[in-house]
Amino acid sequence: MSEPGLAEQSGRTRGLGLAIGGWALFIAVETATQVVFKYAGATLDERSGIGHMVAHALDTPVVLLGFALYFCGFLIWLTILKGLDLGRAFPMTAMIYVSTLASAVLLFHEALSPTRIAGVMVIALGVVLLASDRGEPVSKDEA
Amino acid sequence: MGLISWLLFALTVMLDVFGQTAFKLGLDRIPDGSPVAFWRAVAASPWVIAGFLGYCVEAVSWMYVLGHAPLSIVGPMAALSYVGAVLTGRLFLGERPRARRWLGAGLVTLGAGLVGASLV
Repeated sequence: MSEPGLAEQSGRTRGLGLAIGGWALFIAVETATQVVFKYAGATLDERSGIGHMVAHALDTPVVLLGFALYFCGFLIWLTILKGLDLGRAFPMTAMIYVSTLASAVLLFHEALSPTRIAGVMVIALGVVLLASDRGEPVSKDEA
Repeated sequence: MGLISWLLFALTVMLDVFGQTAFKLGLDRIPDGSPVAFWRAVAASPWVIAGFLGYCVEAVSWMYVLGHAPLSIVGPMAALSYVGAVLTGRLFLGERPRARRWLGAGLVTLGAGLVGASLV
């Protein structure tokens, strides 16, 4: 009588599929944002004054593309964040760092020194620890 | 990497932490419901709007930093905002991090220091 119904099971599978698809889309959009921002940012020059810089930015397609991607990432992120602890969900975005680092090397030919690689690995380890801590259960009288 | 880039980097991290905390505060106040009701409530939430305005300034600041610094330096170092999120989660969101999360925050800070030091 209490065995889970077929609809419930397929609902759970679909939920997991949506979650993985959501994260994959999010990481792709965020990585693209960083790459486009890197190109776009090089066109920004504060020496011409903030007003001039903003006017120039709004007139440059690559800047506008960067903002559009940023906004898409923001919408996807809100749907992900809805169901998770900020201290846990936010570090999971660290998967973006791997893809971003790869783009830095492949697209912008940045050199990675041993110190930099070690630093990134320590950050990654820290992020794994952060994200794998479920946190203490909140007792009812405190909540 | 000049002083302006470092200052704007710090601004970016702080605005990111503010934005994430504000989003979560806003989202926590939105009851579960249909997608239409959810997005309508998102658009009307003062916390989400405040976080979004911070996000807009952050975007410009971050774009400048990326344009003037190596992506392989400031990209990984932006992980410092996770440390900020653990702090604001504890202080303002009622989250209860255990030792493991604090240790993680410490390692992220150490790693960010190493990445920054690799610039010299």
